[in-house]
Amino acid sequence: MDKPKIAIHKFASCDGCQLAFLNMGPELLELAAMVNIVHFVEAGMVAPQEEVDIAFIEGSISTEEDIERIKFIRKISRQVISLGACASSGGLQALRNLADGEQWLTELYPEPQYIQSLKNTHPLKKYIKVDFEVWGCPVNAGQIKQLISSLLLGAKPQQTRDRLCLECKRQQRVCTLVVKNRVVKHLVVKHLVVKQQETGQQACLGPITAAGCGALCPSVGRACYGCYGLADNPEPHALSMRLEGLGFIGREIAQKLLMIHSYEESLQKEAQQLSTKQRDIL
Amino acid sequence: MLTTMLTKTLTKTLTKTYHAITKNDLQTLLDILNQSYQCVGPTVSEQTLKYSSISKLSQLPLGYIDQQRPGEYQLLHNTDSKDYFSITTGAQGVKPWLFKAQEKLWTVSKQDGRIQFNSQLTDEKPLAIMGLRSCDMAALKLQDQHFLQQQFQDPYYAGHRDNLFIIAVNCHRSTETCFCVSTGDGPEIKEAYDLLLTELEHDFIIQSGSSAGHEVLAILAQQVTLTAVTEQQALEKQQRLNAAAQQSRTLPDRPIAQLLAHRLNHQQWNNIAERCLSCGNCTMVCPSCFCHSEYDEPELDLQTSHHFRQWDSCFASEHSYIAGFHFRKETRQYYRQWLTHKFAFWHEQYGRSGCTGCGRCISWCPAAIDVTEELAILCQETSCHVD
Repeated sequence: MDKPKIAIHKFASCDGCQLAFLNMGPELLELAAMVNIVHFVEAGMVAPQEEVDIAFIEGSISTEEDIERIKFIRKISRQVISLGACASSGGLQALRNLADGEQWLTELYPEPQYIQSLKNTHPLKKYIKVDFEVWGCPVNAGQIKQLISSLLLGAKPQQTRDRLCLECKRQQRVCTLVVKNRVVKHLVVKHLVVKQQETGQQACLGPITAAGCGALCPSVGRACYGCYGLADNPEPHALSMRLEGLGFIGREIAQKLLMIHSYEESLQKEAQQLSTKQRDIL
Repeated sequence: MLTTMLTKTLTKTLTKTYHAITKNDLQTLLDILNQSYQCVGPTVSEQTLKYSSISKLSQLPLGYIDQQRPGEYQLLHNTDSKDYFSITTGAQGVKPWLFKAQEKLWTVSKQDGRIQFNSQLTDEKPLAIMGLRSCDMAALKLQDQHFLQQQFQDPYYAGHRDNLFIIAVNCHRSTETCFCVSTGDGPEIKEAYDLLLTELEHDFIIQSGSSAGHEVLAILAQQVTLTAVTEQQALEKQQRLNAAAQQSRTLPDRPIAQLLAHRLNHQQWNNIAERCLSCGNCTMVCPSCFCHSEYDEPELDLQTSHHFRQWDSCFASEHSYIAGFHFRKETRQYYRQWLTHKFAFWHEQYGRSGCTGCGRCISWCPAAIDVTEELAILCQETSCHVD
């Protein structure tokens, strides 16, 4: 039997998710023995038109050309898998959907007429059927390995949407929402950088975020940023109420909630509620 | 294995010997234990208390106390204090050393066209754990009940449990979230230990509770002086235990199990659900919670696959997924499942409540939900039902 063919395509993104393949290390050689990687620009293989069994897509859809290209990829691929936050929920750049993108263009670029982008940026699922979503910002090599071996075995990939808290506590990590260990802040006072140790808990998004990263941030004593997207049955309102109780202001909480997965309606709704208490969230 | 368990139970009834040793003598005890065991004990790490390998007395949390409140944990350090065990509990006790948070159960591989299963039974150095409190000891008994039921013994748990050597410690203070007096599990430890320490201002009272403990005590007696416990020391022990029994939190003095079972539609479940993050932290830090899930990790060559089990939680949606259907979908239902299992249905399963009053679910709840407060409302004389 011929080896299954795979392709890795890139849209608006930072390339971090593709790196998960290269970060597999020696296992990438094992993978190459099992599949035929036909298109992976970052690793040197270029064949975007070739029909494949599995297409991994990194990045969000941001231009008219992107729309045409993703539709074409769907036609030539048996399975389409979104890789990471941008492809699955628009990613960081979806923040512009909440603001006036046109105004940003004129403010940021000296010659904005050369930039042609959609008014809003969207995840793949807005334009095509996605067979499986891999979440993360970025995704990691373990997820890729688990996903591909499952697909090769003909099994449905198992990727948890349970909360980060479970993964975190299994590793005996210390809860940043409980232990008073708020990070040192660097403030600039009269041109001098002053370190200020705040006492209190950190604003961790772990309780609403899906597991999968291995509790990377809590393992170094930092609060979760929510990279892996919303967990099943998330409670963003209960979390923002608790964070307010811990002394965080609405603006801080809203920015935190929206940073990576602002495309999620429940997060937008929560941020909106916070902004009615305090104007000018973004 | 079973016989060892039996021996341990029988030797509990052996005459207990009470002696006093100096605080520095504890180093000799650590040296003795480290010869045959991997010795772990409480250490200060990441602004909290964690159990990790210890060989030196200086690794113990000398002078530290923990300040625990709902959703809050903070360590304070008193440099004048001579106490090693003023700190009560961290997020975990002995559970992660026996019922491991993640453990490989077996590996399956294709060999000569056949499928071969290899289980990964443990072959570790036996463990000696120092510092378990009355709440931990009571919870250990609950975990034993669950994992070592007569005909259905869990070989993985049993493997870790078999040679466990326990140096329990009587509490001489309680933290704000403690309520072991109310569950009847503390503060004094009465059974199932190998050695028991009670810390006094200048000494420890040490007593053995098993033949293994007696052996270690005999070796210790060859290297340090075991003195008879004076009347003064016995009095100080009692005073310190009395101090630990001063707890402000209690469980409602009402038939909790019966009341909860009939109040599944109480308004308070909705009230809790407004605050509960459904994060499952309470179940992760609970020393008696035993739920787990299993998963596979296939190798890329498709010839080998590893089968793991890991701590699961009744707050996880996948935990209530059976045959294509989630039978619990809302936070109200998740929390109710946890609380009613722990305080009501545990009685039917294991003859008592599943709570030993350690207060971890209160301190480590990121939403500061206090189980004693919620139970007080749920078990009030007049209940408030909604349909």
